[in-house]
Amino acid sequence: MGDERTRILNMLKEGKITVDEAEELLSALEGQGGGKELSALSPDSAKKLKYFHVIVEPESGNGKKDRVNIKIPIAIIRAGVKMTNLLPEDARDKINGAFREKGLGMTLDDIKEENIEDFIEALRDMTIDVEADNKRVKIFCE
Amino acid sequence: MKIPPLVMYLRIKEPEESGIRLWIPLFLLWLFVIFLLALFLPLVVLLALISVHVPEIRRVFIFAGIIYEIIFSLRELSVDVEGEHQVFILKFM
Repeated sequence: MGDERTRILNMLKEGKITVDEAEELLSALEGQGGGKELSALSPDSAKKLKYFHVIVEPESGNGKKDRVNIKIPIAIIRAGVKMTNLLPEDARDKINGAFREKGLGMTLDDIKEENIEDFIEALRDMTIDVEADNKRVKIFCE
Repeated sequence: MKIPPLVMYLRIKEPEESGIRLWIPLFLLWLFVIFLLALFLPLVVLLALISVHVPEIRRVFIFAGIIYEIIFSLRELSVDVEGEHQVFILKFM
């Protein structure tokens, strides 16, 4: 158990996890009596991305009530990627053509099941926070 | 264990109207689907065996698997749009 505590503290020291995450891991470790391997308590598995959020809200004091709050489970994105494999060839060509028209340097063939986890993991670092027209738009994953 | 959405909540409010507020018990639908699957299980098994040689049927099975995955991942999907006088809320629980 001592080793695992040290590993958590080292991860905190190296900045791999936050203080809150370290606390969470330590309390989980104490709760398990040290019987569980740290790998099972690693921040990656503990903080697997689950939702994609789109939030639009008026700035405080604006008085407007327009707001949007969308929470999409990441699992839908995974299933959607699998769905692309079933698209007929001509539909794929049309979509790829539309990608080219819009200047996107990718095709549907680049979106593969084995790449999707990397793509989702990349979303972890993506946060869009824009303020315009007395509104605040936030897009992030958690 | 994956659990499908058990309830769907839909609320639509238009200006100067009370709008609609629906709680749809999806779990009743799943019970019906399970009943149907049990009923047609021999046929499904037969089609699964045929699908080894017929790629079109195999695609149908793959498609059904993806639909199943999408339905199960709908749980906790939430769309909440609120305007000055309009409201649209869709939640799967």
